[in-house]
Amino acid sequence: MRRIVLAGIGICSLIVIQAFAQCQKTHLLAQGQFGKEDKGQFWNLNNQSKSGAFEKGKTYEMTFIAYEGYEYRVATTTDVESAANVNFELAHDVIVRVKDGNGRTDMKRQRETIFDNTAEGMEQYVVFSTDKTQKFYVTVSVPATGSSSDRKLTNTDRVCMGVAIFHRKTERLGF
Amino acid sequence: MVLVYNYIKNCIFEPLDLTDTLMNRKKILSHAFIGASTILLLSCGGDNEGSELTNIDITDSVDTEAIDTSGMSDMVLEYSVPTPNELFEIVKAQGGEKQMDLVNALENAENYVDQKSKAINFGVYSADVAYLSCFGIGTDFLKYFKKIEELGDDLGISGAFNEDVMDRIENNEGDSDSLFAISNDTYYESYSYLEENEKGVELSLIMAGGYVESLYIIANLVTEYKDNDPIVNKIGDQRVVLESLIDFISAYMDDTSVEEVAGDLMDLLAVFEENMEFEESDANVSNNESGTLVLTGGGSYTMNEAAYNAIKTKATELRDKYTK
Repeated sequence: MRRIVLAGIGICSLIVIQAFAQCQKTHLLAQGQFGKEDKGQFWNLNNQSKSGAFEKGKTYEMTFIAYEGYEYRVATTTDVESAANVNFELAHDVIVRVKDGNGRTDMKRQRETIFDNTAEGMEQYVVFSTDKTQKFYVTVSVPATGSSSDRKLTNTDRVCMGVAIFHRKTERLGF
Repeated sequence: MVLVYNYIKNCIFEPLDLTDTLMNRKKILSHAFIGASTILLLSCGGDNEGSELTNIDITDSVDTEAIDTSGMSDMVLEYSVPTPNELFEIVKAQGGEKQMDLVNALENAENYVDQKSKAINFGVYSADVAYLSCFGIGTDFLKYFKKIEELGDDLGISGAFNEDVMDRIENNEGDSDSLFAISNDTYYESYSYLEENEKGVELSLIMAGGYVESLYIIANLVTEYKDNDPIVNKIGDQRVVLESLIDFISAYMDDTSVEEVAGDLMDLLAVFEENMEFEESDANVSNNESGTLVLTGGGSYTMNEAAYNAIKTKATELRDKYTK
């Protein structure tokens, strides 16, 4: 019995690992989002991009670092054909002054959303630049319905999803 | 709602154990951005409202009573940090010049007999390979790459290497752009392999080694401190990278080796925070003519000579500790 259980765990682990492996390149689908004009603009795929198999309906969040002097293009992708667009937000931290009840001024770090694609016609990417190196947060809603194109995930509650990050130099960089 | 997931995850679902001072410090420090750690800030510029501030406690503006915690456990959270390749690419564009003696000597590999030092130095040599290829030192690239592969075999992560990578290197030995691309691809593939195969402990140690080596190299590319030197500013930028790295590896601190390395990294973070200056400024987001969001202000840490010297000293100390 113990062997059967162990074998079952092993097979399940293998399936999960394979599912992740299958989804590993999902973020590369974002290269198909480039229009003719974009293709000539020297975007480099950034190694902070992520892909994986995620449970439908859940929320996925990742952080990445954007350097000053570069432009970044953040795009979301999924292998769910019926989910043409995925809801995502881009946010960062800002430090603000806040007065407490005693009139004392404190510095607080607050998360601030700078792009929400639901307010932008479900646009699948955003391009931004920053004047200082900082951490950004990408929050993605995994599609709740639809089925993965990956045969191994077709009848599961998981789908492949990716966050692609591209970068390119801005003109100000260097001497 | 979004802004508090991380805080919730670490401070509500995993309450701090007040009896364990070290772990307490690690958890607090590793979430310096999110939790309630205190950062001493000096030199506040700008024309914001309010009275003069000399000592400021930055805390997260989280009202725990107002947080809806339902569904929080459904959150999947991942941290990414830039690769050494990305850092060296920027440093080179900003005028960094190659210095061969900055990479870790291959002979030192004989000293790496335990799994911890092998994993850390897998990261160290990976950063060296990125540096060598970025700065066009092709002849040593192959030797360093072979050393990484050997360490990978010892660590049981040889599957992270694509079978044809050695052929690609040999066919492109004189082409630094191709070698740089190979080193970049290999780093990503190794990272993905380790993540997929749940080798978080090895990945943590490798990333820590790569980070310390990268910081050591760029700190030593600067021979004399100058205000507004772009490479000095990039050294300061590594504070943000270090915070994310600590966030990443804090998930694996049950492992003694990772815990020790995390302690070193937190000491390094303290050096950044104690010596850099915080400049306050209003945050602004606007669109330029091509539709790009342009983010400015929002407060930032800046470098000074004391910070540069302290960071360089600490980076060298850690690098010596890991590689000798």
